[in-house]
Amino acid sequence: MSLSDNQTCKQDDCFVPQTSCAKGHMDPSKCPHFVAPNAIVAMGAFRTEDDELFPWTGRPLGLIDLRFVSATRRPHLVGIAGAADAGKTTLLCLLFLAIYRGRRIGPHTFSGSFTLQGWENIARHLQLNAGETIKFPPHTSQNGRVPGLLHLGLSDDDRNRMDVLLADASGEWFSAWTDKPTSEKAAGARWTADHSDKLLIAADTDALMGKKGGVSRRELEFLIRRIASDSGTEGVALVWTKNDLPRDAELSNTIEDLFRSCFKDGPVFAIGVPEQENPDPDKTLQELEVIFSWAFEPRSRTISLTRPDHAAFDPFMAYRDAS
Amino acid sequence: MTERSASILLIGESDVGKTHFGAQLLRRLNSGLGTMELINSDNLQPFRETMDQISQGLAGRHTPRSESSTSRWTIRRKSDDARFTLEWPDYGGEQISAMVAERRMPIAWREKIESTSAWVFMVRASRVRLPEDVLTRQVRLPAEDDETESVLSAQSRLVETLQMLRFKVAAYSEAWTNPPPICVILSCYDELKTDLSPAEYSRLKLPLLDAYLRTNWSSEDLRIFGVSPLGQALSDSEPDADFVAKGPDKMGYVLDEDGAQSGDLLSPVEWVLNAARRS
Repeated sequence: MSLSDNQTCKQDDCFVPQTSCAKGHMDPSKCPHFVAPNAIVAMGAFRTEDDELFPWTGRPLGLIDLRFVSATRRPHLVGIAGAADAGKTTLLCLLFLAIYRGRRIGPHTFSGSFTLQGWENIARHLQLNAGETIKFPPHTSQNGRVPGLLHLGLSDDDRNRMDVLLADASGEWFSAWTDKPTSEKAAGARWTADHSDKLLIAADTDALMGKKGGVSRRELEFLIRRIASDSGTEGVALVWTKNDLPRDAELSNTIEDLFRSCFKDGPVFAIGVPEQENPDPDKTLQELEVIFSWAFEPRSRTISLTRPDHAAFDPFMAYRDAS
Repeated sequence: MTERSASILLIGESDVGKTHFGAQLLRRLNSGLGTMELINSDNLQPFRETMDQISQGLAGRHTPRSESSTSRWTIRRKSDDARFTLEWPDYGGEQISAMVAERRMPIAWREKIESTSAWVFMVRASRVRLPEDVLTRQVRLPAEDDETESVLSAQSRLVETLQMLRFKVAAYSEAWTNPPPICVILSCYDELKTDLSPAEYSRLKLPLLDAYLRTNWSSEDLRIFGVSPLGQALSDSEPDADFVAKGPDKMGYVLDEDGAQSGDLLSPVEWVLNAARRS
């Protein structure tokens, strides 16, 4: 790994001075892995070497940052799969905007986030700030191997807390993964599919109804199959995005039939931004709440115990004849 | 006679009125007209200039970033003759903004965090805008590509500030520790020109911060006040004769969580002293 401009540690998992020393040195320069930096010289007048640091930067978390969030309990991971421009990032934007306005998602209330800057970087596109127009979020970059993970701390009325991570993965990764799961380019999609507790498949109404609808449909159908074979059949939902646009009933049926044949209990959702004519934000908010109430539900993993047969009811004898 | 001490961690970005509030409190305590009175103080320096400015009907000057001081006041509560030592800090609010922007905190804050028994979080609510978005108004939506980083919004900055301080509370203590009680002061409440009570205002206009506060502090440990330390705006060059005539110690008001207004600027301090962890 090459050192970035202001990184001053040789360790791959330490980002001093942006975060505190991974080895726990209060004074990072005492750490044997510390590289005497030129960066410190460039520090502002108010910075000193003994400043206290924090383990998060506010930007989307990477895999190494995850240690910090996952130290106390396993975070709940929600992945969103779909082709490029299918509305995956917009779905995340809408979620943050709803939370930013104090909306609860099912029983969950916002209780913190280590990626506020990351959320705002995507959400501001759907916010109207002075002198700006609202626009859809830009393309999610395909650089890097792991999707940027956005963090949300949630709490219910009994103060049960959970940490949720949402993977904002690039559409190109999923296309590459659909074509060839072992492909180098598919690493990010593979990671998302492997680790997600809940996976939302974004079906793009606009693209499926558009000029290249046939191509989009082929891609989506193969993506659904790929997920079913590689990621398992539980905890997967289909989401019709851009639902504010009209959609052919037959198209809906065909895709949903395929989806249901792969994921027998998989729910199907739909969401769109409020329409131009007669906007109804409450509709969008309700759709959003339904989707994410499902997505934030913990996925129970069943462990089945095989009890050996034994004639006498004596636990000590239980394993005597088991071979 | 009981004697207790309480040290306050005053948290506020620049221009939220930290020094004005401190100066007005000091003056109220000194006049002895309220429920509490000042018996002794070790250092009036940080507030002297501002008190003098206010006495002339002028706004106080800005506290520079590098400045950081603490004033220790001994206070007697008249109702039960209890005595408190209150440490009221004063500093340039850029220290807080810089902590969030630069992701680092001066080491001097460590001692403050470790030793404080209550937090006073000052927010100038008129500067915290809740922008319109696609969920609140009809808009055209052209797709546009730009990857520049946005500036963190005021509400997120407030949440991040508290998150960072809470993180340090947990990091410095050996056992799991809840952060001390928090008194949220929506300062310059007169600027808001609202009929909403401070609790309602916080819920409707600062929803993200409000959710964060309510999920991270129990209801006994959290109180939201609306405060206008001067009751009106003052210019820093044109003295307000009317203000001087009425007397600065009569000016300023507090709204409790439910919106009941009183001239008793000391009520947030009283709440803090009652809620503060005994040390």
